[in-house]
Amino acid sequence: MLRIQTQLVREAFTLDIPELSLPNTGVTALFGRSGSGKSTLLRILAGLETQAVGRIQFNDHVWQDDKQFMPPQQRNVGVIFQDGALFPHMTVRQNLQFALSRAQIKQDLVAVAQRCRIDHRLDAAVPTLSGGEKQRVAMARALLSAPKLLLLDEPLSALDTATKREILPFLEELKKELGLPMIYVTHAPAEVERLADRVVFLHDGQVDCVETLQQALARVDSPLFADEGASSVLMAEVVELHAGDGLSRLQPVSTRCSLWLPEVAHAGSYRVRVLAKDVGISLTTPTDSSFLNVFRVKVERIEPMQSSALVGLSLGEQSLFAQISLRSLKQLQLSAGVHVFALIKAMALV
Amino acid sequence: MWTIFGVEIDPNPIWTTLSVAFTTTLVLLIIGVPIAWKLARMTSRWKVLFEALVALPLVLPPTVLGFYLLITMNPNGYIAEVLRFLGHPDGQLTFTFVGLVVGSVFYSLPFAVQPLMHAFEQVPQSLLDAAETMRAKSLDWFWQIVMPLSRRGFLTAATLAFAHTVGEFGVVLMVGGNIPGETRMVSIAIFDHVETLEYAQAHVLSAIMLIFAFSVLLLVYSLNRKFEVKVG
Repeated sequence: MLRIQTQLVREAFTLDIPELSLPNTGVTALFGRSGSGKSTLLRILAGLETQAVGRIQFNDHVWQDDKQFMPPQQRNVGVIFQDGALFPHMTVRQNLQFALSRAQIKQDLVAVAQRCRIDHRLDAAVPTLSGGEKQRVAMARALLSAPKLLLLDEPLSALDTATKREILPFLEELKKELGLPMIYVTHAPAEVERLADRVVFLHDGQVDCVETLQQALARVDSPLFADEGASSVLMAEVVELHAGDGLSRLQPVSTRCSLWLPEVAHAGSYRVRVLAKDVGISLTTPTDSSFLNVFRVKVERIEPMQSSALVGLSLGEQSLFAQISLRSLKQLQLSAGVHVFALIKAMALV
Repeated sequence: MWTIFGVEIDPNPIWTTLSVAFTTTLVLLIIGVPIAWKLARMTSRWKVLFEALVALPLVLPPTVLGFYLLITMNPNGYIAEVLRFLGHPDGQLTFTFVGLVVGSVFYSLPFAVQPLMHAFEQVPQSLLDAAETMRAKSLDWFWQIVMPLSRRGFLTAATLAFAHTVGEFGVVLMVGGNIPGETRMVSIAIFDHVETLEYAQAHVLSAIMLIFAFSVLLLVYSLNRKFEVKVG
């Protein structure tokens, strides 16, 4: 358990968290706009903000209270910074060695490098690394210091879209393999939906609410929907990794349907993010359309909005949002309880 | 005595100059590093005050600095008293080698501190934060990260401090005087030669200084090019 009670007053900004308790498992996202205080909170946890007052306790260890302040060196946390913060005058190997030689538990440098897929770049100079490689090295370096808690400060925000697409599955893998609790600062809903188990919503230096990912995705006014509109996450297992034509076939958990999408990186379970505006509704099964994903779903609720409607659907035990125009809503005469077909383009699921 | 181009030259001022400059540079690197580091990382509004203090010798006439040092280090002053208490025979710093070094340290302080400070400011804070979370203590990360990333700053600081000390005149004259073999430095020797109309000696010494200064700067600029470290 991570118990946080902290306050930090700066000239133009105050962070005030009277009470925040986070379970010591999985990924907790700190989500908010820039200036919401999410990165500051992360730095406070790492012990990098010496002006922060209050009390922070991680399991049995009091990191700080009125009387004491444990410096970052003793907190057993690994931090991944936005820019990677690699030491530019050292090679990749020297960067990793820096962490390893000061760690309390010694791991095999090459094995960790392999896990982060940078073992082929061990002797490279830092300035020659690509953005994605830099974050992999930063990750390997943080892991080699054998932390009890991993703090990630917008690790993808400096990367281009293609590289993000490559690193995100890698983070998912690490999450599964390591079982290391992580606190993940981001302003990108896609990252929250793919990685997080719970979300702390921050706004103007204060905690708005703490929700599980399911709760956060269930309400229509979720801050996660502010930019790209509503979205849902389908949990799915890979059935066929290479299903031909550059596609993979997955099966949404609790259903027997096939979910087609562009080839994924590895077998196992996936979180598939579906934007509500990419989901269409049909009353009959279309037999001659390009939609590869056609699911029989039940209409649970209908939320009219300004110029469109958000239709809450259930697919087995999972839920899915479809955003349709008010005209379609009228023409289809949808109402809660009826069964319809949800249509999703495979190519929308990248 | 050396004979250069048929002119007899007393080499003692050259040796005095070199050893004063060398000692001063060493002292400046040792005390300049913590001062420069504090200034580089200072965010308080008092920073400008300290920056102005350090830069003072740049604009102050050397004779003014020398005058104040002469007063402070006078044999009846507090410093002399403390030195006598600590076992120094007479507490006399003025007109000695040590006095020269003290004067030069003040005089050349900005030339060491400013390049170091500039170099330290270029070291991203996130690197140090990262090092701390990997259990590196401050001396550890200073040695492993700040020093290597500030190599150019150190080189520039050392060279400028050395060269500036070699070229000083006013402070040296006020604090060190002109004792042959002990406090007479090249710049003063040249002045002496001119006063006594020994233009040949003044020519040779001046030429030596000119060649020396130029070679030092040439060395620094070429090394700087080689040592370029990319950050980020």
